[in-house]
Amino acid sequence: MSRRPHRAPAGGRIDRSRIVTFTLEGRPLAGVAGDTLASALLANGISLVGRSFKYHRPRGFLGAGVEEPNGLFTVGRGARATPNLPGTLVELHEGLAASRQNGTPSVGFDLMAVNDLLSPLLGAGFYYKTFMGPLRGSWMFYERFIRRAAGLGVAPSGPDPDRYETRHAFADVLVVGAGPAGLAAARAAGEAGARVVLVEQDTLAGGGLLALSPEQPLERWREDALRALADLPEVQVLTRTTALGLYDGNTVALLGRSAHGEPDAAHGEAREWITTLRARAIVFATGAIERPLVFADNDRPGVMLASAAQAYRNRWAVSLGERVVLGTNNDSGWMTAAELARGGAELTLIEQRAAVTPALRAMAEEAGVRVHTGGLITRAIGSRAVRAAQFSTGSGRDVTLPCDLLCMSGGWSCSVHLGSHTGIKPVYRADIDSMVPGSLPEGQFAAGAANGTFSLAGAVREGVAAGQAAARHTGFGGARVQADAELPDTPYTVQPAVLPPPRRGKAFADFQSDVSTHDVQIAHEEGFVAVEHLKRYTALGMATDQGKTSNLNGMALMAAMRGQSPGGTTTFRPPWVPMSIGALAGRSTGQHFRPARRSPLHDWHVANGAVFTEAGPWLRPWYYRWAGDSPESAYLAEMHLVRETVGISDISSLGKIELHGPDVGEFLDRVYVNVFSSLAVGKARYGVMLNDDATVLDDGTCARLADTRWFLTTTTAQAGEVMSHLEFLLQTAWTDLRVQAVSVTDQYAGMSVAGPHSRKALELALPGHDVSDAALPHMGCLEITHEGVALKVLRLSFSGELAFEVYAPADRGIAVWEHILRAAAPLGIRPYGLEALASLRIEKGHVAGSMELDHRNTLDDLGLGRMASTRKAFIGQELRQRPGLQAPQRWSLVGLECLDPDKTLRGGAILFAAGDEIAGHGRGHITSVTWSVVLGKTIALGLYRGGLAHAGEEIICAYPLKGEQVRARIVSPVFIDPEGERLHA
Amino acid sequence: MPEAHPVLARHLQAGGRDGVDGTRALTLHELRGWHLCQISAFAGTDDALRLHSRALGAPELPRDSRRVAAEGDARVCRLGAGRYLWTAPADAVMQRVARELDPAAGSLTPLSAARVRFMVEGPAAAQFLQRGIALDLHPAVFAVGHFAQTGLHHVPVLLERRGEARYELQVPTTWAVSVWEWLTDAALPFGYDIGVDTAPGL
Repeated sequence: MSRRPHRAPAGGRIDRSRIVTFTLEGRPLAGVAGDTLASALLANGISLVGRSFKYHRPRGFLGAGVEEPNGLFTVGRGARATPNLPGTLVELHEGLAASRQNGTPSVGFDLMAVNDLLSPLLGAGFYYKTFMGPLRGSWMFYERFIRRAAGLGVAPSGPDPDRYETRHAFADVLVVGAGPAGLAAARAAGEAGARVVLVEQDTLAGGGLLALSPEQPLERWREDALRALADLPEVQVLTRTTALGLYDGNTVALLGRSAHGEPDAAHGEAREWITTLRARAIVFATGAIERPLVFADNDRPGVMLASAAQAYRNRWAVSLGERVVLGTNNDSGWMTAAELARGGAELTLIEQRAAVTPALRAMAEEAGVRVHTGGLITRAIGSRAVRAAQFSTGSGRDVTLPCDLLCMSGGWSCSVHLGSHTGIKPVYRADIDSMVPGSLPEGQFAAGAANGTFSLAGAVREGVAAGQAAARHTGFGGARVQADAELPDTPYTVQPAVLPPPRRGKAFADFQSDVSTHDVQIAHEEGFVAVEHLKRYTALGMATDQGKTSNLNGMALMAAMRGQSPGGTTTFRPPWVPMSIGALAGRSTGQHFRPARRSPLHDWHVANGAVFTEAGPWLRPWYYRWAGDSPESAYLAEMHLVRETVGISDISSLGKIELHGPDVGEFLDRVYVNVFSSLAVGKARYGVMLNDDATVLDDGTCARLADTRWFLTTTTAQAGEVMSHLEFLLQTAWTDLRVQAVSVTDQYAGMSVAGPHSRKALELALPGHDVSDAALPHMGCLEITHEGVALKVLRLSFSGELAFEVYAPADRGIAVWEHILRAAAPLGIRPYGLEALASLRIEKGHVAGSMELDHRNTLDDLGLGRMASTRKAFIGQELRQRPGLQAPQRWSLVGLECLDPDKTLRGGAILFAAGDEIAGHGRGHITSVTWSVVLGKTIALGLYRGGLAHAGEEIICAYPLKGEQVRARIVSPVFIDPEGERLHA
Repeated sequence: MPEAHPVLARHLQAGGRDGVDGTRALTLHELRGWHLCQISAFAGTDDALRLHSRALGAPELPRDSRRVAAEGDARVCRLGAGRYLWTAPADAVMQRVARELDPAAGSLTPLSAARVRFMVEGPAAAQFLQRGIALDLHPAVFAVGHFAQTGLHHVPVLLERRGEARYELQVPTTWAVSVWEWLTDAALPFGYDIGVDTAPGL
């Protein structure tokens, strides 16, 4: 092809009145509305559109649609740039910036084209054979060079400024593909009353009809069909929507694209979106893709699928050649040849078959097509553009025909991919030389070219039948049969393409992966017999086009070498076309990546200097700025506050469950290791529950508020799990127990008032309510109403200090919190955060969720074995006795005091006995660390083999990631107030 | 009585936004001024709970787990076997049931502070909600009066169709801000107004 303009003066489905300007590598160009990037470039006479993946051979467009393997572009600027987009699928829009790929320094002048000269060294298996040695790990050396040389486009490094979305949709009948069969199916199902969604990846509905001249009579049928669909209120036609994948339960992933080139993200306009559509029935009307022929240098720019040349001519009014050679083995090639010839091209048809029907001959003759039957195209001549085609005649004579366009029509491959995503293997039909859908499950139907029916009338008949069947499957019947008498019912015959090995040059089976017949030959000679293995060894079908034009030719080549007919196929997997990562992510980016759970007191914390940290899904105050500007200083000040006066902390994230019923006591006895049924009203008890395997599930407290009403708290980390556990037991194991469990985590704000002055703080805050030690002893609970707000007050301590937990309805939480702060201000009360909370409990030796409670430790490991009741049964009781869980050498809870004053202990440090080799998993690890404001040193909790049997021993805490070793002494995990004098004060 | 602090108070101040076409096709309102509780039976006491609660003035407990039962200003959803979510503009009857219900027949758990209620309204409401809710909202499937326990933005929510183009969402309080942020983001292309409804009977 020359660089002259190729736009025909009339025709096409384009709007010539709307000029669209765009750039190619900065060079300004113009197209018109309705163009794709591909059609616009071709209209501008640009036929060199990229360099091939491996050999850097000059390439032009092979196709005009989704099958395009060569013309991949980077489209967009800066962070918006998207690499590897087939130009055939890029709608032209004003200001579009495109650049060609894989040229060093440019596609026009590519130094890496030297690879083509080195191709004898670069055949199939080259990497496997060459880069695995000489030393183990050599690949790591080679990889950086190979990575630099390989690949096509380059992904941008900045955050994508565009908006992407995900959606859900439902339909009675989903029809995939809006060609003749799909239009007919949608109409039939819609007229039967079904809710129908018809999706089409193209910008227009019509499928193969769009490649015909809009002036021809079939256009009326297309328009009538679309009008009929528009009149059906329950039918939705979605263009620019690609069915990417089929999943269980007739769930289909759809990729929608904006019609705007640069959608307005600031106003929420998405560039792409994924729709998860659940359909009760599906009709696959996905059409078929024309196959190339395999001959020497069949990848030269100007060598193109015949159907693509026809589409460019009729849809986009781009004439690509004046002298055209078209090689074929099927009837479709003849029709395309006639169509192109009628458009003014001087056309020579090389037909592989020795004889064809008189009707075809007559059609060719009428259109002025010169025909050579029994011939085979053997070579394309030219470098950056085809100049001639060489073919061998039936008598074996080589003939060279000058041409500026060489078209290939090697038969049609049914698009069976989607139907086979769920594992339904396609089957080979020799009469049409194509795979067709395998045995589709109930509720799935195929119609038209996708089903191997290539005549227009046949496709429509099948579409109607499939649409009706799909509607019936979903409970709708009685659709009328459409009149299709006017549609041509032309038969389609094909002879499998002859694939002669090239005498010189490369004959490509897979254009995008640069897989030639020679590569298939190597695979064959090396003993590969399965198509799946051929695919992996040669990369045939593994590129972004997923072998849409290459699979069958590759299979046929291998079959021919093995002396068999084509059989088996590779496994098709979603997505059907490449898609952006952005579409996969949708809105799940930034703050929407996952929801955050906020305490009812969150707004107060925000307004009062809290610095937040994530604790599971929760955002919790880490520390407060009143105590310092860094966590290191602030949490120590907050610890001092609690140890010396009084502090208040937000504990709303604790799991909270209300239990009701006459049998709650019995239920809790079975769930917890200790006894609860004897608990008096107004009292609370600490409890531990085990998993079935006797590892600790969670700990917490449970208060008996009334005879049949209990209030249970869990750790923050295990709240959901405990609730599920209780529900599971009540609904499956003990359905006879009269117990209801209701999560009230969201109902109540919780606050812990802790410190030696905490009782005084509550007395100030709750005047008139007796919170004395007599009225509210340790592990006591009260329900009171203060200023109209119902409160639960429990005397519990996590810090080891005298402490109270106050629970208020969530919407009154801030008011109650502020009220306590105001009332107790004379005592110096201040808020303290999670870091201080967690550090205070380490000093007291309390275990905590996620750190010490990791579902691997037993009651005894944590030093809680004495809690287990011997008077009643509980979950985990029997398995707790397993020898492995009773072994004295199990890792169990210890306290650690740092012995190196200039060093610190680290969470996760591996513990070794003095004299051990510092290697491997050691004898345990540190679970929690803090600076003790009471002891003035770093302390830690940890799990150590043999536990407190080693009390007093000096050990090594190793942190290999930082190369640190710190000495520590094993001590009791209760660092302060072992007698409990503080909390009983 | 100390003033209630709505968790969305700060977020509602942001106001609405125009959509892609410059219009506001949705309204997102928070509903306030209502009470909510769960009333529960034990195994085998569902009928007893119905009788006792009814005698104490509670609305009829429905047997249908898909449709909301409305009685006067009260609304009841059957969440599962023996579990009912009861919404009403006043809580006097709830408190009476809580006090006087036979503890062998069932129980009542106040949850008024545990949920935030949103009303989503506008011709595009269903299309908007389908951005995040994997339920078929076609009127033939999810008609006015239907409700479902489902998920939105990874959060368990209760969705009710209150009108042809009107949906209510009940969201756990501690997740409400994240869900609200998600809703306003998803509503951006449609354009939206926001507000608070405190009318009784909501």
